[in-house]
Amino acid sequence: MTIDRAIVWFGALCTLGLYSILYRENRVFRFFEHLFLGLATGYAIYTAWNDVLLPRWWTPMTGPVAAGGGRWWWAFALPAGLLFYLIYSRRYAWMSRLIFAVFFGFAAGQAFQGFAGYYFPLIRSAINVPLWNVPPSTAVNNLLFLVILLSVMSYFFFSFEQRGAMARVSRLGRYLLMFAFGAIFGSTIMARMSLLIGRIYFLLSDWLHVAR
Amino acid sequence: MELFARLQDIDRRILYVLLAISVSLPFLVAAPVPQAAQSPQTQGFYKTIEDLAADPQRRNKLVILSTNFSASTAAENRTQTETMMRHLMRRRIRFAIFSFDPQGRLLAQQTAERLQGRYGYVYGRDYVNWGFRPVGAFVNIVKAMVRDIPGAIGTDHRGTKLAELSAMKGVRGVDDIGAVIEISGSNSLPIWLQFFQRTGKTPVPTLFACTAVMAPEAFPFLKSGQLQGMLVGLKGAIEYEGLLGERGFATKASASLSYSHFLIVALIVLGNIGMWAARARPAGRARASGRKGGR
Repeated sequence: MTIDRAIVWFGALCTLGLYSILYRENRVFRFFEHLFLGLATGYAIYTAWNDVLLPRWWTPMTGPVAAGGGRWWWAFALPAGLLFYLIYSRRYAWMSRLIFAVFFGFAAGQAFQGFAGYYFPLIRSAINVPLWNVPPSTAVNNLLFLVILLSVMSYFFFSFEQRGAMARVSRLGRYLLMFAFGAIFGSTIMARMSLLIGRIYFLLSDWLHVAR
Repeated sequence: MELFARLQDIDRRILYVLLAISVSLPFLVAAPVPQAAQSPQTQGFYKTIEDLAADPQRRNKLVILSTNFSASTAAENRTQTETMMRHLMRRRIRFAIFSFDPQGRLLAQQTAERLQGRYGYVYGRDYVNWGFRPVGAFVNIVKAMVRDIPGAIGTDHRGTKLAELSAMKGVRGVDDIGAVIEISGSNSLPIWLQFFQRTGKTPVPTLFACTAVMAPEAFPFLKSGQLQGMLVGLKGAIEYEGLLGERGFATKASASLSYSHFLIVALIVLGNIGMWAARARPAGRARASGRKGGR
């Protein structure tokens, strides 16, 4: 048996072991679940060292100057990073706030730019929905969009009691939200089916060689 | 009526077996399936790549494949990755794999290596893998890439400096990027929209290949022009393969996807018939049945 074939067999056993939960809770499932988590975590640690810490921190700090190394000041990044973990110490937890404050500052500053890049085009497109001087199909589409937008937004006015026409528009908004949740649930089913199809194709094709 | 009422109490393991049969059968015997219609978002995705390849001013620009997925969503995201790599390779467009998920960089690299021989692509010359970066640094790296991509990324996944790779020739900042394609099983698209898309002389075309569960949230970005195209899960990959005239895993899986959906719809209908039948029964019998408990 070649290495590649052994990997396929191992993958098939893992797949069947994890799907055994569909019959009932059992130790085989627990074993493969822990195995998967361990492998994924181990691989993540390896990648973090190999792709990030080694080339971006360790080598520039400890390597020869001629090869771009000798940047000893990168050593200060280590105690700065370790400050995060002081949150687990009652006595020194206050020190962790220093590094958290720096990152909060970064995040707050980025949030302004992020908001503009993310929401401004959305708001602009929500305002720009002409109902006149456009083809009839576009006008109907835009009208539908406006009705849905306004009725859904009206549902989220919580600061006063909604009565009469306002309450009816708000109820329409609630029903439309339910349509959206139904669409999201349908998409979720499609996503889950896709994952199952991927695994079954692996078993039938790569493992058993019976797929067409 | 009693028979219909029992439809609510079908053992879930019977449902799983039915589901497994409906998914497996099309892979074992020839199963008819209607031709998939091409949705506007998939057509937009395809057209963006075609327009890039046809434009002499832009065709030498680099395309970023941001592969933020892991093995758990490989059936959707890796299939999408394979299909779009075929398209890029067919049109001789340079691309860079980049991932904020440790597994994404490897899964995408494996896919590229499997395809490169067929299209005469060579690593380092036609494509490059920038490797993995921690998701906590996502925003900062993307912002740094606006002005200086080689400086922000540094080395590829093999430790080679980007400046030494011919695939990176002429690539400095955001204006040298032809398109960004976010392939994701998580909510990582906004970072590109917020901090990269509109930072150059012209907006960078941005495409999204997502798991089906994430698609409903992303549709507004198509209308606002922030996204030029989108592949919705495995269905998107099926449509994309149809546009390319390829027959890969997605096309083979289309019958399984359709049949499993038929089964789910049928079970929902049967379950509802069972519910109505149970409600129509006399109260005493319904209570007696209820004490047995459902499974």
